[in-house]
Amino acid sequence: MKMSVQSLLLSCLFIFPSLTLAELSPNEIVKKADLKRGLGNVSHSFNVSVTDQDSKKEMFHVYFKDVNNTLTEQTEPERARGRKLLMKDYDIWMFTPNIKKAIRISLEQKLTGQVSNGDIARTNYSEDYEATMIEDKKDVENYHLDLKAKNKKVTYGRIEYVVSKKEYAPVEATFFALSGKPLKRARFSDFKNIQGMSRSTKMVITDYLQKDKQSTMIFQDHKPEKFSDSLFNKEGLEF
Amino acid sequence: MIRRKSLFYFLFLLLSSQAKAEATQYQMRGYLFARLTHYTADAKNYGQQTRGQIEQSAAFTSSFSAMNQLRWNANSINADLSKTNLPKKDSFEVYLGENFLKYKSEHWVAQLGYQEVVWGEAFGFNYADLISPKDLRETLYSDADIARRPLLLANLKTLFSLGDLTGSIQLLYSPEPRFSRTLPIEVYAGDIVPNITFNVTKEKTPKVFTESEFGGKASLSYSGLDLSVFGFSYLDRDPHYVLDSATLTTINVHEEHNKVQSTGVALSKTLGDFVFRTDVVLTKDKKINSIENNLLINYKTDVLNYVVSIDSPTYNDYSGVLIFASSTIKDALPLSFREKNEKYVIGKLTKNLGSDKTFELSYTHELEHPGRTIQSFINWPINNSTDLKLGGQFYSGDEGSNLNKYKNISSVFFSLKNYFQL
Repeated sequence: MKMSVQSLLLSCLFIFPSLTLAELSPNEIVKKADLKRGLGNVSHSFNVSVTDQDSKKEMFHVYFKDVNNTLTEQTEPERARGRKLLMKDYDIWMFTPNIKKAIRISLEQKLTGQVSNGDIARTNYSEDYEATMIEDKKDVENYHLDLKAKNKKVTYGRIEYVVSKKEYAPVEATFFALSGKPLKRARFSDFKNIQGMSRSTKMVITDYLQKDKQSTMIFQDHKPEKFSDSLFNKEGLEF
Repeated sequence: MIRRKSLFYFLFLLLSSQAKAEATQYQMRGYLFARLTHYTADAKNYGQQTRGQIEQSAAFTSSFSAMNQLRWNANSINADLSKTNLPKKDSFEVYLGENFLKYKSEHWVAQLGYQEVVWGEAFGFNYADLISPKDLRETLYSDADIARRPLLLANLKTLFSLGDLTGSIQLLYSPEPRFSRTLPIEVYAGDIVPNITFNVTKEKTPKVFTESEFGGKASLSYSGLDLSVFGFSYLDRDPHYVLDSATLTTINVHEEHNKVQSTGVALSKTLGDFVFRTDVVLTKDKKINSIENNLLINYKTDVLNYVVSIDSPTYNDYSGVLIFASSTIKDALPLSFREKNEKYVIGKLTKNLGSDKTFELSYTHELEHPGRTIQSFINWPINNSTDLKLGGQFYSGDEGSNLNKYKNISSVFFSLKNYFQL
């Protein structure tokens, strides 16, 4: 009898996989989708290129120790080489070579084009947002989630997040300010196998009102790497 | 200067040879800058400035690296801060920028050589920026890196973290004090001693190891707060003047720089989406000039400087900064070369025009003797390597106001800056 119950459960897993997947909570779905946009909370580095609607391109190298310790260094264009952005928890500092001191800034300040500091430096939505499911009867292929900021320190007040049911892959996100005003929309694509898992390598961000304002972010060269704590110290940015 | 050149040549040869050997990560880069200025005050003239910098850096290992800079500045000035309409005056200087060796380990950084060190959290008036000498001929609105000059330093910093708290302790030692490039003495003394010609003999930079400067800074960052305390004992970057001889029309003076000690605190704190910043600096034993019984004298006093500011969040592509700055000397004689109190309010508005184009508008108001200055410009990156800047700056005020002294450099300007990598 015991065996047959187990067999029945196993059969259900194979026959109705979607039933078991659907049991994931909205927050767990967001967590799984986060893993499709980076290496999760693993210490690693990667490069990001940001190209705007006028084909102006900027390059960044990102040192990601964990979700609360990220250092972004600009490598192109030449005028901006050496600019650094350090994010530690919800504190953020910017270092520019001509000013020669790290200055505290706010998270929502635009880094370049349509890209905010938090879009590169703080990408794990599951850490910062509480998710609830939105019912969308027309779209049976994707989960529609409403992500509300856990506190006022985060980049956005709310995110409407679309995640595919099949692979928990992020599809689209609409970002709202704390005031509730829609700011921009992002589409995730170009899934590639990185470190043994399919992950999105392209994010196209479009201004919500001015659709011609667009920035395309390409994530590449992900590499697991260990970093010392002093790399994420505000006082070390000048060196 | 010979020693500075020796260090430069040493680093130049070292970096060049290493680059040829391709054993290092080597980079050569720089910028070229040109500005055309039309002065709009009494002296309606044109000025032209070209500047440049070449920098080579090399990382020999993951811990050991070096930096080597050469800068030049050519200036054709048809109007400056003097009261008279000067004839055309060309100048050209080549000087060494930062030239240092760096060793970096997990918790320590040591830099030895000519370098620029900046302290403080606030902007507008950089009272805590004590270490590096400045070119005071650059205006309130010049980029900080243009006005700053390097200093020979042994610079040691240790970095630490204790849970969420991070911080550092920095120690500095300079065996070769250097002085700021100052404005003409008439700017300070012109109102007190009118119609007199001053002849000033500059004080030379002391030879290496004949004078020494030292200081340190301790910094902490924790949960939205950055705090640092610092102290520096140094030869005053600004001179005081000592009378040599005088006639009815001419005063001959020479510059001296006395030893002063500055202590201070700098703080920045996020308040919601706003950022609050302040620097407070007390300088002991600063010498101030004055006229007493028709004689040029100088006296020691303490100076308290502070600046507080608040940065606004970005709203509809607009962001703003509001700054209040104050400088007070403890004892002020009636005919001192500076006022007892100098207070300023600065408002700055920045509009993001998209594609990295920005529009900036700054207004500075002087409170004690009403004076004002306004600057506005558009910064337009026209491609990946070139920035175009178009704007103007205008100074005015009552007699006795500091900002009014700058009225002759009221101007409109056009500049291009090109960045390159070789």
